[in-house]
Parts: sequence; C-alpha cells; structure tokens
Amino acid sequence: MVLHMQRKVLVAVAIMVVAVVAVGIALFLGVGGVEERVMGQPKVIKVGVILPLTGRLAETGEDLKRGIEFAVYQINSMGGVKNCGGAKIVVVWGDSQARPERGAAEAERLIVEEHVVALVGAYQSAVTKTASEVAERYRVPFLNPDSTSPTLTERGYKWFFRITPHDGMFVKQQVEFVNWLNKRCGGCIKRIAIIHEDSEWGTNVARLWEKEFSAAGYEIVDVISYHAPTVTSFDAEVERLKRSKPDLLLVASYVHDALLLMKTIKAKKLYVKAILAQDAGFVSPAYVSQVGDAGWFVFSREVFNWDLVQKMPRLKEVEEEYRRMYGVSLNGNSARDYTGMWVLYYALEEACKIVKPWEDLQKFREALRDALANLYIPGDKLIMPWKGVKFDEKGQNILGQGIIVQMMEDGKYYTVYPPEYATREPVFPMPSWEERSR
Amino acid sequence: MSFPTQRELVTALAVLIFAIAADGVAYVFDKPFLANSIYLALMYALAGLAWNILAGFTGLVSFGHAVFFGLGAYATMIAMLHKIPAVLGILLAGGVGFLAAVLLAPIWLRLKSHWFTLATIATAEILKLSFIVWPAVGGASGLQAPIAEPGEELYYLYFRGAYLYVFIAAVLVAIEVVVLWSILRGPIGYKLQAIREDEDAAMALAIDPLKYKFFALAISGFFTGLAGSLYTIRYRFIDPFTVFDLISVSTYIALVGIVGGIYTFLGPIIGSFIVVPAAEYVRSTLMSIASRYAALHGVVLGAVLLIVSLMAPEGVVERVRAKMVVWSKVVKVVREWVVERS
Repeated sequence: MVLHMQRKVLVAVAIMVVAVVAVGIALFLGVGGVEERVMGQPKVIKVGVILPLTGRLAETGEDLKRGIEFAVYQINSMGGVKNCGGAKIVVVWGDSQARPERGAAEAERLIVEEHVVALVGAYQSAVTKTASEVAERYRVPFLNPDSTSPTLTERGYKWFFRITPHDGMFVKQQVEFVNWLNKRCGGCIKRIAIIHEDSEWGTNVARLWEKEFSAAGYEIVDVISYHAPTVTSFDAEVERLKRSKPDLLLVASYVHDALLLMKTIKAKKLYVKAILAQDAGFVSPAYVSQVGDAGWFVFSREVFNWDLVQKMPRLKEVEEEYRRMYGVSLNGNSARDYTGMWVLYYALEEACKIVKPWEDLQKFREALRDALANLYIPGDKLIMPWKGVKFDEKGQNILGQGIIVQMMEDGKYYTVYPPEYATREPVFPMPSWEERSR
Repeated sequence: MSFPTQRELVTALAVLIFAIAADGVAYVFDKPFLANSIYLALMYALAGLAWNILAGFTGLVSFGHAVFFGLGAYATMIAMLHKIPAVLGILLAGGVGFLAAVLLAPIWLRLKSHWFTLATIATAEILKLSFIVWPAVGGASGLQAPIAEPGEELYYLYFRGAYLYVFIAAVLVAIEVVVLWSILRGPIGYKLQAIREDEDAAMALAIDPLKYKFFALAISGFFTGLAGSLYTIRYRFIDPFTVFDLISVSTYIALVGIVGGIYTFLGPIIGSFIVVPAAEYVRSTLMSIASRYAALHGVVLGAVLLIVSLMAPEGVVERVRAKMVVWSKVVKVVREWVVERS
C-alpha cells in the first residue's frame, strides 16, 4: 500500500495517536476510581423502570407503565417508605424501544446519571438480558416482574430477581391443566398443534410445549412459526391446521397477530376442541376489546384475572381504585408490574433499616439486594394468585404460579383453573361454529 | 469522479479525536448515555465506511450489510464463549466478514444495480432465519457472554459503561480510515470509480471489473465484520433479530452513508455522527419532557431525514463543501479588497 501522505497529514496522524493513547491510559487508570455522586435529594427514592414505551410493543408498554404508576401512587399516598422517613418513591422511565442495546444504554443512564437505587423491567426477555447484565456490572438490584424466559435465572447473577413464574413453570402447569381437561372428556385430546411467533419468547415456549406435551404422551402433529412484526395474513397457516386436524391448538402470540389469527380461524371455521394461548397478546386490553366472538372459549394461561376479586378480598379494593383511575381493569401485565413495585417496596423498607440511599447509595443498593434475597411475602399480601414471594439462590420466585382463564360469551375472561381460584366451569369441548352461529 | 482529499483524511481523524475527547468529558461528568451515543456512532461509522467503498465508490448499493455485521457479532461471541481473548475475537470477526464476502461474491457480483441490492437483503434475511432455528448458535434465544471474573476484564474487554469501548472503536475506525483512504486515493480508487461510472468503458480500458468489485466487497466485509464485533463486546448479548436486522443494522448502515454523502470519503463518518446521536437525544429528550409523546421520536427523526434528503440530496459533506467554496470565494474577495485598500 502506497501512502501519499504529506507532512501535515503525518503530523495530524501522530497527534491523533498520542491523543488516543493518552486518553486511553487515563481512562484505564480511572476505571472504577470515580465514586458515584449521590445527587438525589432527601426524601426521595429513585427507581429506574425500563419498558418498551415506544416501538412495536408500545401498547403493552403503556399497560405495564400504568401498573407501575398505580403502585407508586398507592405506596406514596400511604406515606412512602416509612423506614426512610416517609421518602416518596419516584420513577425514572427508560424506554427500551423493544431493542436489547437500547435497554442496556437506558440501564446505564438510569444507574449512573439518575442514581436510581434499583431497576425494574424490562418485559421482553432479550431486553431484560442486556439491561440486567448492566445492572450486574454496576452492582445494582434488578427486579424483573414480567419476563418469562427460563434462561434469565440460569445465569448465576447475584443482583437479579424475578417474581413472575417462568415459561418452564407455566408449561408444566399447562400440561397438568390439559390432563385435567382430558379426564373430563374421557381422553378426547390426543393430537396437538402449535403456532407461535418467532421471537425468542414464542420460540422458547413452543420448544417447551413440544418437549413437555410429548413427554406427557400427546402427539405433536404440527408446529408453525411466523414473524409477528411483518405478518399480514394467516390464511395459509390456518389451512395447514385444518389439514393436520389437531384436538388442541397451542398459541403464543403478541397483540395484533393474535387478533388476526383468531379472526382468520373464525372466517375459515377451523374447529378444534380447545385453544390454549400463552397469555401475552391474548390478555392485552386491545385484544380483549377488539376480538369479539372470534375469541370466545379460548383458554389462556394467565398470571392474573379480574374475577379473582371474588376469591381474593384484598384484590377487590385495588381493582376498584385502578378502574376509577384508568378506566380499564388490571390485567396480567399491569398486575405483575404493580406487584413488582410492591415487592420492591417491602425490600426498600428492610434496606432502609440499615442505611439510607442519600447517605451511601452503593451501600443502600447492597442492602436492598440482601433484603430481596431474604424477602418473604405471604400470598395474602399480594394481589396475585400466588402462595407468596420468596426467591431461591438463582433469584427466581418459587412461590408463584399461573392460572388458566377462558373467554366466555360476554367477552370476558373467567378463571377456570386451578379449582381453588375458579369462578366458572370450563366450556369444553368448544361449541362448533354452527352451534355458535345459532 | 471524486477522490478522498487530504482535508477529508484530516477531518476524519479530527472527528475521531473529537469523539475521544467527548468520551473523556462524558467519563469525567458521568454521562454514560453520551458515551454510548458516541460508541454507536463509531460503530455505524465503521460499518458505513465499509459500506460506502461498495456503494459510493464501486456503485454496488447493499441493504444487506447485516450479513457481515451479524456474522462478525456471532464470531466474537462464540470466541468469547470459548474463552478466547476478546481482542482475537474482534480479529476473528473481521476474518469471518472477509470470508463471508469471498463466499458470497460469486453470487452477489453476478448481479447489478437493484438486483444486487435485492440479493443482499435476501441473503441477510436467509441468515437471520437460519440462525433462529440453529440451536448450536443459541437459536432464537441468542447467546449471552458470561460476566468476566475480576482480573479478566482486559481479557474479555469487560468494562463498565461505554468509555473504554469508545477508545477501542476509535482505534478500529482510525485504522479503517487510513487503509481505505490510501486505497481509494491510489490506482484502485480510480479503477473502482471507473467501474461505477461505466463498466463497459472500464473493461475497454483493460480493467477487470470482477476483480476490483471482488476486492471492494472483501474489504467491505472485513470492516463490517469488525463493526459487528463492536456490538458483541459492548452489549454481550446477541440474537438473530438484533444483529441481522434489516432496519437497525442494514438500513441504518446505508442511512449514515446516504445522509453524510455517498460519493464522499468522509460521508459515512459525518452522517453517523449526525444521525446516531440525534436519534438518541431526540428520543431521550422527548422521554423526559413528555413521556406520553415519546413515540413521536420516530416522526421527528423521519422529518429530519426528509429535510436532509430534500435540502442536501448529495449528502451533508458535499453540501458543506459547496458552502465552503462559496465561503472561500467571499474570503478571497474580502482579502483582495483589504489588500487594495492598504
């Protein structure tokens, strides 16, 4: 390579190299040397929340945000964090745009620039992975109320805590549920088909379904995947399902694809004895308000349902107040993030006994981590149908469980399983399309 | 025809010095968000420069550079998971990008203009879908590098914040700038541009188009692979949706080149330092002043891009250069006037 460089250029290059080396050395020597300054004013505890507030999951993000806001509103109006002198919780929002690298950048910004005591989020498992990695690096507690990828708690992180059950736990419960249904009809479910969106979540769920349901002796007759951001038609997929004739259809979808899929199933009169969805899109308000009769009798795995108020008195007041404020009911997403904020609150009370965040932020974060690790919250303090909250050494809440709901003819989901929380008997097998049109 | 000028080289290196200085400021004042924006700008500049040797100088417009970016990202990740030092992982990413370009050349280089563009998009999508269903590379779940043990930070290039990563990225971009600048100024630069302007005429002058296109593609693949490794060493989690993405990788790489000026050497660097920080700051500002309207950031950015396309279709660099010509004429007139008076 011939360099036609003149002296001026060479000098510029030399200056550049010197500058680069100098700054590099300065940076390297300075790693970890600068103490993080505590800028938060007294009486305020800052919590960073990372959610997909814009981008293709903005609708879900809005829902999750309401859950957080409502919990913070309740905690603050009850007098804030009492062991910290009634300090109010202030949420600093980070928008992941549904992209992993944005989630990581937001986590960094919230930790270093906003001096938050902990991070909460981030819904999509891929974003939670990068954001919690940053939290681990900075030694900041990361509380995850809403990501269900089993791998998240297999990483050996010390600062990561997940309150929701993960997909592995859900799928085991779904197999139990299908066994339970099967007993009611004398073993009429044999053939199972799966349709799923192809991001990490849908793909993992499908793999777990395949594994657990075949282990339980069912025949998997078809597995179909599609790309949610670009899907515009399910005609081919539904035709394929008509040919493979499953008794049970398992679905993992986000909002718009769930709507499109159910409308196509109705239009093409695909009949299966039962459809079991893996929450997400199927429990979003947009889906519930738009799906109409195409969504009747569909089962969904859920973590929460509005009719639990009949079984859980504590939930009743919360739900009524939430409805008054936002005009919509709590759902599985908003209720989990609501619960996440409360779990964090209980841990904050414990940590405040040891040190205050405005005295020594990093000590407080450590105290908060320890408080989370040792936390036990009994089920009756929660609005979730769980036995409570207690984390194992991997950071997974071992007392959580899901429920199964079914959309009835009034367009609402009712809890049908486990029996202790059920408000309705399941409609099973589904009525045929001819019966329904009558 | 346009050839990289010395002024462009000096400006490019000055931008890098500026980036490092800004990174130092960000470090001192605890502004990881600023450092991250600089890092992303450098990452896209690295890929954009590599893209532009094909698009701007050879006339092969690719919207599938995610192929090299993604493969580079995976190469570095797999190296790190096999406990290979991250620095070697970065080199490996360049090698894999180079190799991918060499292997794709027989297919891609058979095609011209929009057919070439379509082939690049298709290849990137094929790779994405293949990686989704390939368990050995983590499938749809992707791969995450473990947290480095204390004492292994340099081995795995594992640092807090983007500060030190900016340094690494700036070094890679500097190397790329010097290498591409000297190639494009030399005889190869003439031949590439001859091919871009009129392939038949170039052949008549005994230039073998295939040979030089192949060269441009291979070097483009190499540096784009390096850009992919920058994603991995910093974010430490990759999945096919992110690193093979048509929008945030392939299109963005082309975008920084187009905004900056496709027929200029400097274009992608300037474009990258305009588009990337602007996108980051519009979004975070909207988020903090009016989180309800945060989704508008896409609208604002889109409007800015439309304005650039209308006002400066030749790219920001050409525009500024034109302005500078006018400016230097003004200076000249004023100087002559002053000389006359004195």
